[in-house]
Amino acid sequence: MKIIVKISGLYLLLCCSAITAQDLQKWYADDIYYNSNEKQTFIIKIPEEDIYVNDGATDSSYNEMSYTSRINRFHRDYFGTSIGFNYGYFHNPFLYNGFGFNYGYDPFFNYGFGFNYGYDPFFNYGFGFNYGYDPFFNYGFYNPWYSPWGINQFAWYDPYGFNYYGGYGYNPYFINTGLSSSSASTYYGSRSPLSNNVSNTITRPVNRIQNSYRSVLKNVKEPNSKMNSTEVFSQEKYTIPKNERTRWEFSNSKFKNKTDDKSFIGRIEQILGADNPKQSLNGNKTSSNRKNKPTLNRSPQRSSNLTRSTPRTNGRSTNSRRPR
Amino acid sequence: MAGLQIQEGLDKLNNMFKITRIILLILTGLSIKAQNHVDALRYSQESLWGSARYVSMGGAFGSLGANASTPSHNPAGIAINTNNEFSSSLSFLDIETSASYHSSNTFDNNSNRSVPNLNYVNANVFDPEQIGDWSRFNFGIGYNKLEDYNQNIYISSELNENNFSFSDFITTNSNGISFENLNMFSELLAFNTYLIDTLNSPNNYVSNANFTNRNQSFSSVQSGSKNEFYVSFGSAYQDRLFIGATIGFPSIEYTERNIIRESNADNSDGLSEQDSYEYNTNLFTSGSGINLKFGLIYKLDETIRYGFAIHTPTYYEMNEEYWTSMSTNLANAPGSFSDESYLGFFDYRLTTPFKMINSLSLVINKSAIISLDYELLDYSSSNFNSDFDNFTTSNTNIENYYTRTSNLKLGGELKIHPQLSFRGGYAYYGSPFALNYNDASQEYLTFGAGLNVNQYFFDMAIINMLSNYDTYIYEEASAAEIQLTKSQLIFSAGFKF
Repeated sequence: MKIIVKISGLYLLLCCSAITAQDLQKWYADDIYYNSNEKQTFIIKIPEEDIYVNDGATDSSYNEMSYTSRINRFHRDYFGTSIGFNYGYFHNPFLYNGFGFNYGYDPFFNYGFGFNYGYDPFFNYGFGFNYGYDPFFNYGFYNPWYSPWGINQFAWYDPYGFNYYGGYGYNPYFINTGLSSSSASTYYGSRSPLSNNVSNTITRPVNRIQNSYRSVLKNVKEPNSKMNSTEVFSQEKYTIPKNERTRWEFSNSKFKNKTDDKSFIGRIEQILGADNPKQSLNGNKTSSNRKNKPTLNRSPQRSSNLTRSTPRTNGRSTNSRRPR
Repeated sequence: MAGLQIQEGLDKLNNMFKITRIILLILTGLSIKAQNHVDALRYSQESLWGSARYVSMGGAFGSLGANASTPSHNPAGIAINTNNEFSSSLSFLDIETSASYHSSNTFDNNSNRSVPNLNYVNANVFDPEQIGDWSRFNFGIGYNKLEDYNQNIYISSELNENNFSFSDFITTNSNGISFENLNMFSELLAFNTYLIDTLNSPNNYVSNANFTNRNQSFSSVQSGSKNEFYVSFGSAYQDRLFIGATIGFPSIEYTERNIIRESNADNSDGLSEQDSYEYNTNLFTSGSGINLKFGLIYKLDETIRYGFAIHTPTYYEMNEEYWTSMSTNLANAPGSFSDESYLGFFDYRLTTPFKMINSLSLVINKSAIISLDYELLDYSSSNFNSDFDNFTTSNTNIENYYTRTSNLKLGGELKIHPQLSFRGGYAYYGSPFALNYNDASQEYLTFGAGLNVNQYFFDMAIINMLSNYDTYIYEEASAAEIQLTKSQLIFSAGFKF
């Protein structure tokens, strides 16, 4: 919080130092405060049709515009400023700017949704159509072939071709009963969450008035423990077995990054910082608890009372029963 | 020849029989498993995200427009622009989670940085004398962040034997079911790692972790976000009525890892065969969707503006992958047992609620703004469906547990200099829960400042969010009271051209 206050203070200092007398009302006045008739607005005039008539090789408006635009591009002294931006283009009667971007309107091309020129930011700056992000085609909306991690999800829609349905409605006897010929290391089906996250009775002591800022700030309690989830995950007892690690990494890094590469948002976030913190795996990657499984030595207190009815011969604790 | 035909017929019959058995397994398997309403709420909710100016005014921008975030809220706002504009933002978020569970208090925090928005507006103001009163055709493209899922939760307490433990939960769920039919993502793992065992009868289970007193902890690391890529269009009539439409393509990524741990708190306890155990769950969900938004802004006069917008439900295609694992330590045996589930996959569709926004603002003397937004949406209208399940139970729960709610946003801006503005806002996102099932309402206090230098603008926002809700580690567990606090700093910069 302190850093936020410091940065805020720095920002305000910057604001104060940057204020200079400017006529903001001229072009860039805030559109919320000023109507278009209260500020200088660039009005697009639609040329009369006869402008397009090329009635002479030396005197056409087309050639004039081409000549002017060449001057704009190569001889204007403000071209190539640090931002590469020609803020004077509003005064250019031929509507060209230093960006090489056709501002809005060009009688010879179109009405300015900006998809026409080679310098168009939509084409060169990764907005939409050249970096692989296309909401209609690549992003997978209602596309059964789409997989965020590139796993073989196409198989989900082919119940008889790739045997994913062998894992559906899991039954440990699947392999024995011959219902599936797959490796059965994956399962297709919905998840069963542990909790409804709602009170069993609607009389839980919720008082929404207590959620006001004042009361919440009063109710801040000192924690009893300095433990947190990061520490818990760092001492995770379960070590991902070697043969499973590939799958886990497959899911969490390798193909996820590939997906990120495809997505426009992912590309931005790669540049400016990932949105999702990277999952950290247990550092002890080479050990496998399964391989060192001890022989069960039941405690004497309970063994006298127990009758093991079902030995775990069909449990999937052993790798041999779970071919990958 | 006839023998061959008979054999082919038998093969076909056998195949049909296999297919029927598979379908039956699918149906019976899914009748007891399903995404639940928690998922629906998570992916339906949106909070206060946007450009610094938008957020610093509490998100009350429905009748103001001319901001990068408006295409995702009131698309008519894009028609207010008279200049082309490019803008983007950076967010620094600090998330603190306090939990109270069985009289124990715990704390966890994490931080995150992201790009909340990146927007381009192309403004085309035509001569009204040439083309009539509808003389402005604006176009915008970009993306806005709508929700952030980053949160770390740590809950811990000592439970006595009267409390319903996780092993009790597993045992209860297992009883009456033969081991081969146990849920492979939870109870079967417990069986395979000797957390539960059969006693006297194949379908009668007992827990091997009957601690007199137990230390229980729950750790959760959640991450991900909901972002919307959009294409927006707007037009203006006589500079008085502004209309707009947005086609939104939201995408969701959500990752959640949880660990439930229980250990014997009393070393002299000789009743239990287990010393400790832990259960891990891992979930990765991704999805993409589509929605439409329509809006209008009407300037009643120079001071008063009214805005109205509707958001159609978003239709998501969701994919999720999940797996679980369990490990146990026996008190009288060296080493530990561990087992993990298969990697689960599932696809489903989710429809999120319809939203309506009414907005009113006052622009006073071209130097101050007071703005109010009132959003109305019904979380009980969220809906799951898939090709293989009708989600009857989950959809009924959504209808029962959730209700219509409203979000209130209030914001103001004061220009103390033609170039410098100060802003403040308050937003209240109502609880989506019906009755008192849970809460999860959110309150925001926001402040900000804005600076204009020629065609460039720089905005900043400071946000503080508070939310109280209960979380249940598993069914029948006591509620853990969560107090979520988010402190956030957003910087936006852009230029007009």
